[in-house]
Amino acid sequence: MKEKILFSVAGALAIVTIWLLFSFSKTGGNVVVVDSQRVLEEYQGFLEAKDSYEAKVNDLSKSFNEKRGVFESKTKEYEILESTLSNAERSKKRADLAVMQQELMKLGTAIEGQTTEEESKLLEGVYNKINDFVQRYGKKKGYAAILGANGQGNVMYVDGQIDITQEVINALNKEYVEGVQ
Amino acid sequence: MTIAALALSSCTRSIGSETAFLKWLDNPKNGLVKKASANGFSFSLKFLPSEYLAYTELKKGNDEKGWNELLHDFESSMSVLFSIEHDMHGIDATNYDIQNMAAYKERINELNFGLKQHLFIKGSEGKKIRPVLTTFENNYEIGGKKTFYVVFPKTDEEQWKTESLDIVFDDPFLDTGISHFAFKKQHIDQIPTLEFIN
Repeated sequence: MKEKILFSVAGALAIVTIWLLFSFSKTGGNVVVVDSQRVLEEYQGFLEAKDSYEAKVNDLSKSFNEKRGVFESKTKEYEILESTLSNAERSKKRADLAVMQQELMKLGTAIEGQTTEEESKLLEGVYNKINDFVQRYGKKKGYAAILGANGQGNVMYVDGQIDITQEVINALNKEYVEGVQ
Repeated sequence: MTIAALALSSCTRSIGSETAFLKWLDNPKNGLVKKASANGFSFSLKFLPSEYLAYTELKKGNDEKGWNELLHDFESSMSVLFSIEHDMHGIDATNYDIQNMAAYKERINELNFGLKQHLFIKGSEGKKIRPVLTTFENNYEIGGKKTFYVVFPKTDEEQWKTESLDIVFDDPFLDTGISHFAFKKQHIDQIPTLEFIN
């Protein structure tokens, strides 16, 4: 069943792509293709944003690990002293540890949410930058369309002559360093 | 012939009027205005020469300092004008992605006082040199262009001797990612002499 759906989607995408190629070929400008995944991976803006994201995640993990370390040593301390404590002291310590554990779990969830949000913000910024560039680049070069191949079957074959991936990566990185000309 | 042409081109020119100088400064070919864009937003960062800043301050006449003192003050820092504009009417840096009044107030507060955290000079070994002053200039303007006057300290002497000066905007509000504005030292050194000052 799943395979049937996949084949139908791939088939529909292939038809749309052929139609796009056919209709754009009538407009006079060339239709070219870029490997969008490669553009993303080799874009300096993405690499720099990824480094900054990883540094933020490391900082957050560090503060979480410090708190976890305190919780673990408190738990160990309780286990060693448990037999020497009175019933009242035992239940107080257990309650304190339960509160600490709950706070730790809350912090973990908050950090997870924050990192997910940071990641989607990072990608949105990077995609917006790439899309803005590709639109201006296409107009400047007089292309009728720039199709993005992303390995999902929307573009199944590309002749080397219409693959402008490297050209786009070079120009995109140049603009990233030197600004819009 | 070639040597003569090179020598001529490397000479610092002089400019006779303020209007002509401002026109020269705004010409991207002279390398003192850098631009970036994404998500419908256009960013522009303009280098402001200290000589011109001292001149405008002197012209106001409300400072007791003389020309040399003013020039010294402005030469001990670096000032730039940072502008943000959206290509659609009604959208700007103060209201993009804002859902309610509380968020609007937070954005205004961020733009007024928090920009220092997101705009910096990329120093050596990953050091970030942050501004000592950022002033949100067009807070009450109806138009969409928002402008900030930004002053960076000249604390890291080594940084000012390098070939280029890279100012980075790591955008937290407008979904435009990281933008670089790299000024070449060669362009800063070629700022014309302002004849109209005297």
